[in-house]
Amino acid sequence: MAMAMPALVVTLLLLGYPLVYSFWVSLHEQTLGSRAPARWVGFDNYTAVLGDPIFLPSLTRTVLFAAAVVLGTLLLGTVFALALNQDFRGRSVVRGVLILPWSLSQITLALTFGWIFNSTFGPLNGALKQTGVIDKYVAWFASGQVALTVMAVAFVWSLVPFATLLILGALQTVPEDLHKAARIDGAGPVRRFFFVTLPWIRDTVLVVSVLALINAFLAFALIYILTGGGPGTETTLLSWWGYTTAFRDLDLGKGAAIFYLMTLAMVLLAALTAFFIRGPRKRSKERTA
Amino acid sequence: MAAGNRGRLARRVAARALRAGVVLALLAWVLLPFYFLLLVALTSRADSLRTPPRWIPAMDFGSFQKIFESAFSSAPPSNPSDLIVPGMQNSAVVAVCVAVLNIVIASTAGYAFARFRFPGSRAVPGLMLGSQLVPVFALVVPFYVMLHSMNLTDTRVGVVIAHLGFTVPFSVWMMRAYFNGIPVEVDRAAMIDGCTRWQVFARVVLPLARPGIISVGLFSFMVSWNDFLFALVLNSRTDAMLIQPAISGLYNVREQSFGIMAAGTLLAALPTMLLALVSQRFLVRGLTSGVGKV
Repeated sequence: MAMAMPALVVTLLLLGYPLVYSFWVSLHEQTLGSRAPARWVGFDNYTAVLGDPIFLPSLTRTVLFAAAVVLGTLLLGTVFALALNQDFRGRSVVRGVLILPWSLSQITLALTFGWIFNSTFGPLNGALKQTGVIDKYVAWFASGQVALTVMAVAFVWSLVPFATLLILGALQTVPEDLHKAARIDGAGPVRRFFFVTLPWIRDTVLVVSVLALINAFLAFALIYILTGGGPGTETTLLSWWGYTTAFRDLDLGKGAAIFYLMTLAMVLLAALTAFFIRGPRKRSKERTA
Repeated sequence: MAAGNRGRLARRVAARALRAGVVLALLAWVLLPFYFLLLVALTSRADSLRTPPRWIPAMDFGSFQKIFESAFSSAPPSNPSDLIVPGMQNSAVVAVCVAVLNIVIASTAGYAFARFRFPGSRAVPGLMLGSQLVPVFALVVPFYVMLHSMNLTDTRVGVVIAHLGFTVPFSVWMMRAYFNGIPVEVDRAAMIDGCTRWQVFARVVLPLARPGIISVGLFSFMVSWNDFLFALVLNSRTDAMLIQPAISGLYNVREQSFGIMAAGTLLAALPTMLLALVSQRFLVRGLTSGVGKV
């Protein structure tokens, strides 16, 4: 018990207390840097957030952005993992470099993709023009939708390798007998994947999805570097809105309220993902029982 | 029958080609962005502004040179690239402290949760894993207010404290999973041989859990080194600035010093990249510890 004390103290003091405290802040009117005491306003900050014309569009954008990141990560991660699950020369080298993108911070990720997608000097426009895919350089960050897509691509890039490693680990636990039996029953590779492999690795798919979801919700540094939430508010996700409200407009209470609503949205989405991925298995178990 | 064989052969060749294609795509996907960075980092400023861009590095180390020169001159920092080397030094101190404290706190607590029964010994680790769902954003405002009132903003100590809050719970979870994998019989045998509880832990079980300790250290070092939000909000003064905010100042499209930007990015990414390469099996195993048991 005594051995667990330091960890319990750290968790309560540095995680539990700040969480409660930030909830308390969200119920007050408090300006960053001012000496004036916080003023109790009840749930005014929350109604202000919910009534703000920025709220609904940025919530929608955040959810769509997260969905795109999760789906892209799952899809590419599964394809790459299936390829790596077979024996070939150089497989361990390929697996070795896979971890690299995942080790980058969001800032280095943003700088890397900011350079690649730089509209005047970036290598992507240069390559596309030289190969004749485009005749004119594309301004990737001029429209909100394109800019969000670029940022989603950057995120998927950084998450896919790790997802591949996790899914690969799960693939290696799929019993060969199951595949043999399915093959004897006449199932082709596609059906074997959907009815044998996928159900077996379901838990890993869930973990990957939730990891990608959390990361997508925290997409703050990318926006900080690449778009500043603009043009206009077209790339303003909840995380960015919360940050600017708290630390640029200095409205701590409203900022904390945004972060709390964001947490709520994320937990709901994670639960929904878990239900979506895990739910069918329970039903199929009942069917066989 | 012969036609069937030929069909099968053709299918096998097609499957191999498909796999080779996917593997090549994977390699390109992973490595091309790094190549583009390296390319411009090793290109002189004038060359980097050419269209179409160069595709082969010019081996011009001017950008790296500029970053390191400013670090060893006594002049006060005047532009963003001067903050890279000091930022790396500050971040190294912070991240090492975070990693060491994580190892100490999480290995003791992980052992306690794995071996002893006490109120909450089952529920608490689950809660600690669940805390990973809390976005760090919800913690920024309170940490700023708390550390500001203790005069710990713009210090490295303050950031270490903040980073402990969102690394320790997961580290405890990882260490507990590791100790759970070590049979209790090991403890019993050592006790029969006359070890005290503490000796069992420090001399017998802890050495066996070395892979877990490495995972925890790596994970917390990387989280701390890569954190931008807390580093930005808590430490804004230039002498206390950490590496991520320091390189964030390099993105300035109008100044067009892309070489410096890329060189700084590579330098800032180097420690975590090397750690990840050297120890990826610890990382992957550590981060997925207990995944099957959730």
